[in-house]
Amino acid sequence: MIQFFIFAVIFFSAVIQVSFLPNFFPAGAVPDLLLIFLVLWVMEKSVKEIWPWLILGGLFLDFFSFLPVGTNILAIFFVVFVIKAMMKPYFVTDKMWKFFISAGFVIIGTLANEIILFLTTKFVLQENVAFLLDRNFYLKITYNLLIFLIIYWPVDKFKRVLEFYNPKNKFIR
Amino acid sequence: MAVAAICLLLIFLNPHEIFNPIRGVFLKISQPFQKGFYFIGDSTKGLFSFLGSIGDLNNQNEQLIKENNSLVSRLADLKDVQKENEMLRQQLNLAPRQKYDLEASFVIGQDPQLSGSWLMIDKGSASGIKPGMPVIYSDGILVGKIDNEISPDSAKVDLLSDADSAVNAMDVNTSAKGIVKGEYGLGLLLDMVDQSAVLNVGDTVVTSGLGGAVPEGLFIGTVQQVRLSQDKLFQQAVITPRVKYSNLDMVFVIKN
Repeated sequence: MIQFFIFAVIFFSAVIQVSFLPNFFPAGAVPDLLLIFLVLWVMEKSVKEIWPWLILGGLFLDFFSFLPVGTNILAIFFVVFVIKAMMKPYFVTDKMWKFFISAGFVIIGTLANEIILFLTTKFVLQENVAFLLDRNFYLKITYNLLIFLIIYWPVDKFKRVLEFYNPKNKFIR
Repeated sequence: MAVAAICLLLIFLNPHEIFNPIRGVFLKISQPFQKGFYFIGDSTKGLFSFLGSIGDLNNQNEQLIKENNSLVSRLADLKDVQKENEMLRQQLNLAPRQKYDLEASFVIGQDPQLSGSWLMIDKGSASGIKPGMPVIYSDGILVGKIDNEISPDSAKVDLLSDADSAVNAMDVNTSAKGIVKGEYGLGLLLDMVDQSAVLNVGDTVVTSGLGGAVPEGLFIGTVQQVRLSQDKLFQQAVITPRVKYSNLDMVFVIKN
């Protein structure tokens, strides 16, 4: 049941990112809803526990975004490993600090995601290398933070549900 | 590392489109949800604009009454304008919409990650949609072409603003010919225009029909700026599209 719930959250996050959010945000700066969700989730879980869901999330984004299969999977794993590498020194229990550090990870995640997408798609298309100077890049970070503000507390509640999800625990499989 | 290696391998294999059947299945499953979410988003956006404009409605109402009075007197003039319009349409070679076999389609998704270079529509191979078919908006405004990614119930439309897009076009005011290319989602560029050709700011650019892939006379946009190409061999013109591609909700695919 919980697995179905996680599947639905990932599926609908990808669908909303492709079909709902573009109505409100400029092209090229549509927030990475699924990425933000996965960033918040991976802060609480080890990669070993949730890697199939990371692949599934990337796969959905690749399919719905018409990008070569593997592009978003690679981007998501890259983001997750960057965040995991940076997380250890910043491990905190204070709620307020946790919020700000999560926001920082969303920014880092956005940057890491854009780098991988650039290298795997835009670079191939020989697009302008100076994507860091692109206005949309900064808009995307801003919008991702906005979406982060909206979903942070609901996801925090949702995480408590996810706490029950443990792949090693056979009876909930 | 293993994930990265597999992903890179998958990305490398993709040009052979081996994942298209699986992608098609996923798109078929997600199509109703995408359609629903797109409509909800579109309607919500409309509702927000409506709520934001309530304060102005009273003033607008008074203004509209005045305008209505003046419009009644202008109605008689419109018949002349209609005739003139038909005449101009013939002169400019703008294609009348009636002559095409059009398939009306709703937009159900947009490019969320790159530079807004594609749309997804709710019609696919089951409705006779094929790669390369031109996609127009309203009364003959070209917005793009159907991509190879087609499932039975959905299709990807490569917008004119896509970096790989190229359409033969002409300036209807001066007959200067060139190729309209996308500028990575940022806009359109009329390129490869001969040095001797004349391009003026404000000129209308339409499809020339050369090559036969896109019919002639479809409106593309107006010339915003004229400049020389980097190698100084050709003229280029920055084109302002007639419609904002991110605001499209319904488009028509030209099937014939």
